[in-house]
Amino acid sequence: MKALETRALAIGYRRRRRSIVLARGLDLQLRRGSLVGILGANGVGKSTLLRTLARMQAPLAGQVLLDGEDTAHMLPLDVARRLCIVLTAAPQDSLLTGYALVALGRYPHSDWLGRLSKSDHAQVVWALQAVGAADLAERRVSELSDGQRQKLMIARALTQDCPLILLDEPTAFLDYPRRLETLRLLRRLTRAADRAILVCTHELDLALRYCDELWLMSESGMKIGAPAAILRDGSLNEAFGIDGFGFAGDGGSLVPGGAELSQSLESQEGGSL
Amino acid sequence: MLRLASLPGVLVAGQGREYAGAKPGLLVALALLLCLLVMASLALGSASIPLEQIAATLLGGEADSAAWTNIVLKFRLPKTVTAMLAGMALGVSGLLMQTYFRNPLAEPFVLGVSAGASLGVALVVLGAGAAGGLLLGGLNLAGDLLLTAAAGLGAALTMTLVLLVAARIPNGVTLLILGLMFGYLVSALVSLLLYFALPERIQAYINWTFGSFSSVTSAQLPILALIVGAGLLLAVAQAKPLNALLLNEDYARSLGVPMRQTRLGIVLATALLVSAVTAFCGPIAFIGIAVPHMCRGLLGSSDHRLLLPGTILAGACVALAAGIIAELPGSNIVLPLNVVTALLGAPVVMLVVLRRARGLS
Repeated sequence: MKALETRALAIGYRRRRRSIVLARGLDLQLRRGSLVGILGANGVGKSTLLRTLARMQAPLAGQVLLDGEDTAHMLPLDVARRLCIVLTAAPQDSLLTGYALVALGRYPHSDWLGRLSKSDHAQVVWALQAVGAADLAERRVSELSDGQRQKLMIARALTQDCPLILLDEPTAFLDYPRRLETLRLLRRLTRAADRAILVCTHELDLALRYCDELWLMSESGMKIGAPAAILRDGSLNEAFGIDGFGFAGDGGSLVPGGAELSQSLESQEGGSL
Repeated sequence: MLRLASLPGVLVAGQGREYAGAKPGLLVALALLLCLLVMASLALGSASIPLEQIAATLLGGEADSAAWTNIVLKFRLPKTVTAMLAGMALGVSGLLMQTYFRNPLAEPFVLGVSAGASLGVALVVLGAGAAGGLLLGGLNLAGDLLLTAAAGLGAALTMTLVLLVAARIPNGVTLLILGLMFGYLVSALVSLLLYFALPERIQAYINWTFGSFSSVTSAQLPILALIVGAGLLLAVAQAKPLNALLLNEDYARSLGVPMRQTRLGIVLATALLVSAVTAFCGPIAFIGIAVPHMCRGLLGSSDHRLLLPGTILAGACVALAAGIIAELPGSNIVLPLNVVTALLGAPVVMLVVLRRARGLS
């Protein structure tokens, strides 16, 4: 079942009367139960795509459909119950505690005063534990490291309890084991609760290992495929366009030399990573 | 629900955890303090009236002296209620602006509404021809009314302008800069009027800028109360979206906050509160910026479900205290209100900024 679908979507910005198009003609489909990674060089429009899908930014053309319904005609609260997002910005408020921050995820489900029921609280606690941030519940968010804050922001999204989760570089500030854990957690969430998760990332190796499908963005367009297929047909090199470097084996690590060289390295060393 | 293999630590869900570190009990203390200050404000003044006489008058009776009844009902009671309303309005609108702009130095006047009110007053006091001069001759009752009307009109026009801009511009920072620039523009116009004005008119304008809780009559009080009440209700209705705005506008939108509606709600509430207070009491500084900071510090929370009642109570307390101090009880001297609010407010803001700077380093 499709959680998200786009039809002839064009993304970008409007400046005065000119529009700057980052990508056009996107017909994307995101099935429930799948983890999809968006890869691409800096500035190619990954975040803009996420923001457009989350209706934080208007599409230049085309439609975004959630469960078959055009988001352009949906109320903000309806969107918030079906889709949550983790952005790169973290809040700086000096008095907000970890628990209060994560509890804000219950916003679309609570009454006009935002009062939390027992099951709301249970959801907050579960999310804190799921990302390994139970010890941050009573800490002030302003006292935490970027990585700790990032964990809380992911927990906040989980608390929102939506069938579709979008994440913009959720692992940027995390240490390596925590990056691995986060992607494993996301993968588990797609399996256990039949969620669809779309994650924008620069962690090529982790994306190749854990994602069910990759959307590779480059200036020439969007390439969609299974990680193994993307890795083998050389489109990674095309998308990131670095002379003298290539992506090795099935691990997705960058090595000096072109694609041919990486193939030969793979045969010598049995792949790298 | 998903079960996870390893659970680091045991976390127990509960109502209390949402307010970890917060002290909501202090709201009760603030309410008690407010009661005390209301009594003090009624009891203290240039004339000393026995407490039981004041109580009798307030309960509908007559004091032993008709002058006492007059003082309590015509002067002290309206002054006290005005101070409370103005303090509530300024405290809450300061909180709205600081949260919406996510700037600790934002204050009720950043939207330029009170600058609009000043221009209205300046035009009447400094620019008006013979008719204005006649009315303002001894700053009589008609003069007071004219000032209130001019300030109200100036504030209302600016408010309409701000709302039109806020409806079109989705960016908070742009709105903040536009408001500040509008303020500079207006103060330049006021300076120009001052430059060409007659000295006695200048004095009348300066007197208005000092601010006062004493110029609202019993007849005008219901108007002030109605507008402030409406503004406060509108503000309290935004408590939940304001909490979402602690993250940022993008996150608030993703949580289902209808941003356009919320932005207009916040701006309208602030504009109503500020224009009513400025029209009736003049441009009262510092309460709006200092009270939200005091409340965050006291209540230990940035949750608006605590901060809104907190700023309502603390705003009323600070305004009453400032009003009492300005009258220098026991003397016949009355200090300009803005001198007292700045003397009380500036150290608070300094302390907050210093603490923030230390916290960051």
